[in-house]
Amino acid sequence: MATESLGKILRTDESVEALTREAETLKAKLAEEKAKLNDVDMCVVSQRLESLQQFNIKPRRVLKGHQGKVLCMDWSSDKRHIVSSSQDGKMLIWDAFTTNKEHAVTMPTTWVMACSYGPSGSVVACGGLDNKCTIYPLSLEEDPASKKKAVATHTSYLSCCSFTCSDYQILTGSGDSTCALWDVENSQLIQSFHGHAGDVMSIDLSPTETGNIFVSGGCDKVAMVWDMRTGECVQMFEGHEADINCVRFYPSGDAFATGSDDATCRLFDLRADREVNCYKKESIIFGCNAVDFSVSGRLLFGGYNDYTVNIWDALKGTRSAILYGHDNRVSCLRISPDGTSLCTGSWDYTLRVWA
Amino acid sequence: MTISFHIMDTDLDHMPRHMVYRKMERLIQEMQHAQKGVPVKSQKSFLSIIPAVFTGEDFIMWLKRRLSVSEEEAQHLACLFCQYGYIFPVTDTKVLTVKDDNSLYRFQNPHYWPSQDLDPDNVAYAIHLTKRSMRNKQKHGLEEHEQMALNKLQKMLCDKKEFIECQARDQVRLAKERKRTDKAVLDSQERAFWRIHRPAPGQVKCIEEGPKRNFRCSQIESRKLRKDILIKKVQVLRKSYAMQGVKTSQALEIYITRAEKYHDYDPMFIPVYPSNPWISDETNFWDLCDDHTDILTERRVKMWALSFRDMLADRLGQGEFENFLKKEYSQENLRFWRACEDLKFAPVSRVPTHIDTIYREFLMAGSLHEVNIDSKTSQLVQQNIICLLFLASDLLSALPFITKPLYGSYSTFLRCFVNVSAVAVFREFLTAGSLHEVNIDGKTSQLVLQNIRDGKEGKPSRFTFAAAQEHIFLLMKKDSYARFLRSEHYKNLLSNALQPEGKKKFFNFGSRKKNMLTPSPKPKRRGSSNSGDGDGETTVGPVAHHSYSTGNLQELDDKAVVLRRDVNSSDSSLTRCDTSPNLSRRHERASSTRGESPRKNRQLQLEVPKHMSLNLDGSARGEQSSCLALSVPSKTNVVAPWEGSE
Repeated sequence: MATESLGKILRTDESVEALTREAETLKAKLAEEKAKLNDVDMCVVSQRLESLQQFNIKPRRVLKGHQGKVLCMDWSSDKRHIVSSSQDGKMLIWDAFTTNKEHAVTMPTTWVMACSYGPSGSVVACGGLDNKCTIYPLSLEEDPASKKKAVATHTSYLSCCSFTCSDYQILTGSGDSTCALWDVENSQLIQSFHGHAGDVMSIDLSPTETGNIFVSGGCDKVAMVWDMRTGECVQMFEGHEADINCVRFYPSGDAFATGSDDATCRLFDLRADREVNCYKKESIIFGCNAVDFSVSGRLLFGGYNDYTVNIWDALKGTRSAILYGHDNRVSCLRISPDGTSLCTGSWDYTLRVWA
Repeated sequence: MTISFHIMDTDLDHMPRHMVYRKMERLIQEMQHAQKGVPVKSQKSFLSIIPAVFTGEDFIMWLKRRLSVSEEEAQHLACLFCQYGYIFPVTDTKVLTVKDDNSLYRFQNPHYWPSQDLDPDNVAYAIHLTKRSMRNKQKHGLEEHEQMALNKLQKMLCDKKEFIECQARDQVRLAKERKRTDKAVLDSQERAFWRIHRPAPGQVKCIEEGPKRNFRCSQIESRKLRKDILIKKVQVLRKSYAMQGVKTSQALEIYITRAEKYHDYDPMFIPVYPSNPWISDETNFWDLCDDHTDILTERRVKMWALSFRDMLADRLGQGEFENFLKKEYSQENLRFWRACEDLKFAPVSRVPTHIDTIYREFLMAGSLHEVNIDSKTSQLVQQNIICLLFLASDLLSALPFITKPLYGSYSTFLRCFVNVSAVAVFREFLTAGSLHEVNIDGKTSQLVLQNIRDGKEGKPSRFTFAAAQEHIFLLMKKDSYARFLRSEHYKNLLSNALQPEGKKKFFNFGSRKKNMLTPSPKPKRRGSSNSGDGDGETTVGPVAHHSYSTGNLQELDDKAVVLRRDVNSSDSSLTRCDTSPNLSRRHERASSTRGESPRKNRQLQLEVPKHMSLNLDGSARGEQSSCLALSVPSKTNVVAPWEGSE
């Protein structure tokens, strides 16, 4: 159906040159249109808001146990369990509150770059250089590995995965430049998403109730918004000068933030269809690997290659604080579901919980 | 030896993600500026002179001024320069940090910068180590881990032994010809380089890269010009262009509003009550946020008012809302929405049954919990279903969905059902002039045809009800939710909620029993079980009307009751307009339900007599009564009447 509808809109005999030209003219026209609508800068609007006071975020837990670089982590919906995966092929389930490890799974691969907790909290998924996304049901009696199940297969490494609103579906992103939605039960592809020109590095599902959309970012420096029902790309955002490492929706779902190797984080608004803020500083020269918002959307946390977490005032665009503590790159970062804490994972083999 | 500098710009493929090196090198080059840079000089130390060094203090100061950052940040950055090997400590070589004092550091030779040679090979390392083992032990002696590495390398590279030794000898000879100070600097730089690339055990190797990307930069650039990718891009751009733009100021308003509205509920700003578990090590806060708690905190109840989504996200919030809807006799809306959500994310195998259940329960004319959707939406849903079921060759299920049951063709339909392909079915029932033509409108049949042709099985299935679901969602959000927030029900919840000051704590102990009577503990059960669960229903009747239960009645003053009645009645007249044709039938069913279980509904009568009278006074208000009856939660209602009417 996709190709057919394309044929209706675009002549199939159109040459690459013509297409490129059309893309350029459209881009120019769009820029013009947007310039007309761009009546005010975010920094000006946000002057109305009071400045943030100094807040006091400290490391509260250090999770030690990985024997390699921590690459990915995710919170359980119970607000205290964490799944993390590392370069040495281990996936650990932590009770972060007590810092106890509850399960350990050894993957048949190194660089487990993606892991995700199922919404029910009773299943986790992970994958990496094995090009697969494997599901592990968690139970107290049995070793999770005994009931593992490979659900998704890509033609290159798995860079990110995320359950949708249920344990039955999982969305994956891969180095093969595609994203895909899979049925967990039958390991069946429900929908694939083609359009990125480079490795997909990160995906995030829209938090809105009607939002059947998700956003992806990758090495082609483009962030794309997809309709999960049709598999079509509905919006495309350019602006970054290097790989996009992380995408994350603003809590209301009206925008998303990106973190990139060009050492900036950006905020793209879906309705305005443009970049509305860019978080950068001359002193920040290292790439950003992970971003997330506080509950109110006022704070944007960024995990950087310079071992720090920078906390931005997402509205005023200024930096409010730096968190020091890790001894190597901060590779992943997530705010807990209730917003009470922030968890960071690092190449220094540890995870830290800040509050 | 002389790897030129231009590599970086031309050959991107070998330098993935190295923007940061370029930035660091720009700074390092600035630092080496004779006047404006970091002051580099020779330092006297006891009897010897250490050439070309600078102090950590100066370095940090320079960074601090240049980037106008805090002392702390400058020091952190300085350490990174050290760990990436752009500068290295001269005196205490083991620790790769920059101290803010007189400790001495030296710039690394650009040849050894990390951007030059990403992964120096083992042969080069072996040459380096062999060379040092050939020289003065005291000055150049190998450390333990280095000796071990050399032994290993010698075994590994035994075929290249000659070459390595030859190279090492050459380099030693070359070194001897150099000036003494130059030699010292070069040696230190070489050693510093290997300390970064072959760090001692336990030391961080920070210049490591992640695994290789699948597509190299040049590939990505050429892929961007691929036709399929370009076509998609043009499509998206066209869509963007066609989109009615929103003014930036308008779009930005959302952020401001959210920041203000949620400020007090963001634990990063306002401490949660009673305490943040991560800080206090006590889990009370989580216990109070649990789905199974008996105590509602004020914060929690207030959060339900932030947005409809926030309320739905909280099981108890959803439960309270459902209780409220029950009083309004429109709970089927919420249940329908929930069922649709379940469907959207259900396993593929269960999609057909889900669709069937939802349609039967909520959408089919005269169904048990029929939801009110406009005719256009309902048509859309029906089209979707018909298409879908034909595709799935599931004609048995398809049959009831077709608006006008075709009694004549029914049995044929059934017979055909066994192992017929969709196409065969289409020929039999759908093509114009076919023997048993099924009466569906032109648009739908076209859709069916197209879907069959496309062979896209099951594609629209998950979203069969999307239009209807959205309609209902908006209805609840704009209508019921707004009323919920204004209702006594919500106000009661709020006033009974546990407040952070602690002054209410005593009161709360007293009212705990009351709290137990309020529906808060109940919804969780329903919330956790499936929406269509009959068991949950039986308990609901008395519970839902908690505020009027005998225990509570005394506490309520008459005023409140009257007020509530008014609210309810006006609401009902506002919301219930049904245009579907099955009124009388449903009304019959409704009254029969009433007749069956008068006892069960006594409490209901007690509290909302107005509705009761409406319900009983005949066909004029049939529409309302039908809805009333449908949503009356009692087990008998769930099974008997509907089955009977079949």
